[in-house]
Amino acid sequence: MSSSTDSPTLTTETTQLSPQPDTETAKPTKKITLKSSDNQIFEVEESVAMEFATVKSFFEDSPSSTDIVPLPNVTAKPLSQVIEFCKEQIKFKANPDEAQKKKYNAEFLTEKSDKDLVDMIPVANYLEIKDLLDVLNQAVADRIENKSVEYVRNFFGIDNDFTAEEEAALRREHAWAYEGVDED
Amino acid sequence: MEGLLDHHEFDILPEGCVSAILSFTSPQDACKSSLVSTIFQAAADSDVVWESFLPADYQEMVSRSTVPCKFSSKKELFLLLSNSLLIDGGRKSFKLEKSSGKKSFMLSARDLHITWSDESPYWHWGSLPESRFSEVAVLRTMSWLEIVGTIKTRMLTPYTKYGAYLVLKITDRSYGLDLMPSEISVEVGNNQASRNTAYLRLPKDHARKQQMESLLYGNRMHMLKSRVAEGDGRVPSERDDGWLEIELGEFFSGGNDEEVKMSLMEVKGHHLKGGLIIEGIEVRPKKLAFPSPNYSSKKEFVLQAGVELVSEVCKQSQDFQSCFQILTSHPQTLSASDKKAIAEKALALARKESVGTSGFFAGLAQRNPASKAVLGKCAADFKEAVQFLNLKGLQGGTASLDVHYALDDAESCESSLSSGHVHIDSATARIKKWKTVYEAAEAATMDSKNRIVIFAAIVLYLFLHFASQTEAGVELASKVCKNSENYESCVQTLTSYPQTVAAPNEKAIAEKALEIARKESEDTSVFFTGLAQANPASKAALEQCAAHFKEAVQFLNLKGLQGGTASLDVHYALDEVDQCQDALSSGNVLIDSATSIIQKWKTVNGFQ
Repeated sequence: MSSSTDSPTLTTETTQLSPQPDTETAKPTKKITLKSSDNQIFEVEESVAMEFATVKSFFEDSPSSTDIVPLPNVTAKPLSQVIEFCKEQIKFKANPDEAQKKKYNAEFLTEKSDKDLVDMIPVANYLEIKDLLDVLNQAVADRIENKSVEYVRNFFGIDNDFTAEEEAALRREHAWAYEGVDED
Repeated sequence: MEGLLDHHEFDILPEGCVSAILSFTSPQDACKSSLVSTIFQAAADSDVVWESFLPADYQEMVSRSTVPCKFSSKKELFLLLSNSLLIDGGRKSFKLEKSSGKKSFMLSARDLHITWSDESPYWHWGSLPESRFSEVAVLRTMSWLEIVGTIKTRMLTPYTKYGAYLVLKITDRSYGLDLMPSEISVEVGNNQASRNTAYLRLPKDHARKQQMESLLYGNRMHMLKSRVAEGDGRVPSERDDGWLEIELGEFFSGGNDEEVKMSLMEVKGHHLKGGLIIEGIEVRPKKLAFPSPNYSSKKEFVLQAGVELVSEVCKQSQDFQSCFQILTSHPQTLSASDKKAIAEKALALARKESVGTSGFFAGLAQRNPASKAVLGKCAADFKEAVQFLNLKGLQGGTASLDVHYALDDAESCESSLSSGHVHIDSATARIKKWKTVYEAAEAATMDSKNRIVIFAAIVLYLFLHFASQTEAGVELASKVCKNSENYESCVQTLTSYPQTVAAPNEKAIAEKALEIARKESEDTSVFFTGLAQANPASKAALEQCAAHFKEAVQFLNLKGLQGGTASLDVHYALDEVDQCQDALSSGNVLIDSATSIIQKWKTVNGFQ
């Protein structure tokens, strides 16, 4: 890609958001602009954006490229929640307090609906935020633990795509696993 | 751009994400979820998932197997290992619990230390088709019965409660085995984890034999029984595999590597015995005792969390095993949702133990007139200890001191015993027992005091995770106000604002209440500024008040509450008010409206 230092065409609609003088070294905190698939613009501190391995490597590959990073696989709502989480983690990085971090994480997760959690996982996965991915996976695992198959389908909003024969065969294979599940 | 994407496909989690989630569940959940959809099936069979269920040292286990293990995936290997595998040249067997992936072992008779087992007149090594091992030990005739097995906790799944079971048979021609109880015990490191007694007899004969003994040989049985320590005289139970097993005891595998010593001994009867067949000692994860017979595994999960909490608490105790033993022997501590609940339970146990010990010394004093004064003092000391062992005391801020006073009481008793030259074994033992219970309580409170000690405002925070969404705001408010010194005005204040009544949970109430308090503080500050201008004579004092309330505003916020400085912060706000009052009285400013507005401010803040 030969994207030059001149402003690329796809970002024209957002230029008014951040007038970018060429005096970035003088600025104490650099902002990075992210654009979700539904064309929402997020302006975040550079330190927060660098938590996203995907964004970080975007800049490492082309350091002089645009300040607007398009995220075609990510919608606005989960992205805003992911940013909220990472902002908080930065604070804990500067000022480590394990107990408080645990507390924050627990609260962040309990407040979220099932759908919010499930929606954030592909975002955290795409942006390669390992810490967040771990806590999300654990939280979702806790919520589906010991639940019935139907409950798990509803939880993830997934349709059953097995034929009746396939389903019967699978049930036979793991008969022991279907005993003693919780009421939905 | 969005229109080009198939929205449905866009929504589905990729397989990699699903496997990552499943690896945080259990083997049972993973198997079950293969039925959800084809993507879930592929994820649920993946090596990523099953590698996480295998123990870290599974490769070592595979290499110790007596027959080569053939498997094409991690899932296959897991299922293979869940069907018991002979290792170490057939001296042990190894197995993973299918539902949880926890490890269990069986040490064969050859892997145990059985005294005189290599002397053919006494013991005989035979083989039985129904045994998983090639050899079993058969007791022919011998008076000294001593069977000891050892295992390292490093080999086991960490932070798990294990039971040790002697697996045996009793032949038709057995004799002498159950004339007196055998002593059974489990030790971890240098600590006694459990000690008890057992009768080596068939479960079906137990009731009949017990009846006959008390009728015919009552005195003789009593004499033999008195040679060993008290115990529950348990009997073997039947296993699914046709063998009998007797629980030797239980222990907890902590994070450290320690040697566990499990034993059965009958060496005090001096009579000959025979007809016992030993297959080995099994060490397997223990299902936690729960009062209801048909507990759901969800509850078991909660208990598991309780066990983890308790073990975390007991890490602070000097004697991990006995602390753990004491705290887990009560279902209430296991179902405790947080350390505070554990602390409360532990203190209740310590109180009960203190009352018992006090009564013990009072009884001893009557039976020993010579040492009556000293023993009576001990009874009083332990009676006094009771009142120091409570959580209310903890909340006062004198926390650690109070619980320590109880220890002082015990030590004062000890020193008066030794200075009065009173040496009664049972008294020493009793104090020792009290101390183990006390230490468990101390360990439990040590951690919780950080949370509880200073201010109930944090109690609000503790509720957060357990808040029910359906509760009405008024009910919530009254729940919150139970922590207030002035319940009535607290409820009135909180329910007079529509926002708090509509609040979905305690956190929202706390936020609202703090918001109200902040607003009230701001208003009060403005009020004093105005008053200062109207009363030039008392200007200094009134301005000081305005400043104090302004400062109070910044201490009243939830962000502060969530930090460790929580309680302090809210307290600071109160300090500001007190300082204002001091300024007013030292400046002799008695303006009725000022006093009443302070009163109002205090009411608004009363929820804390």
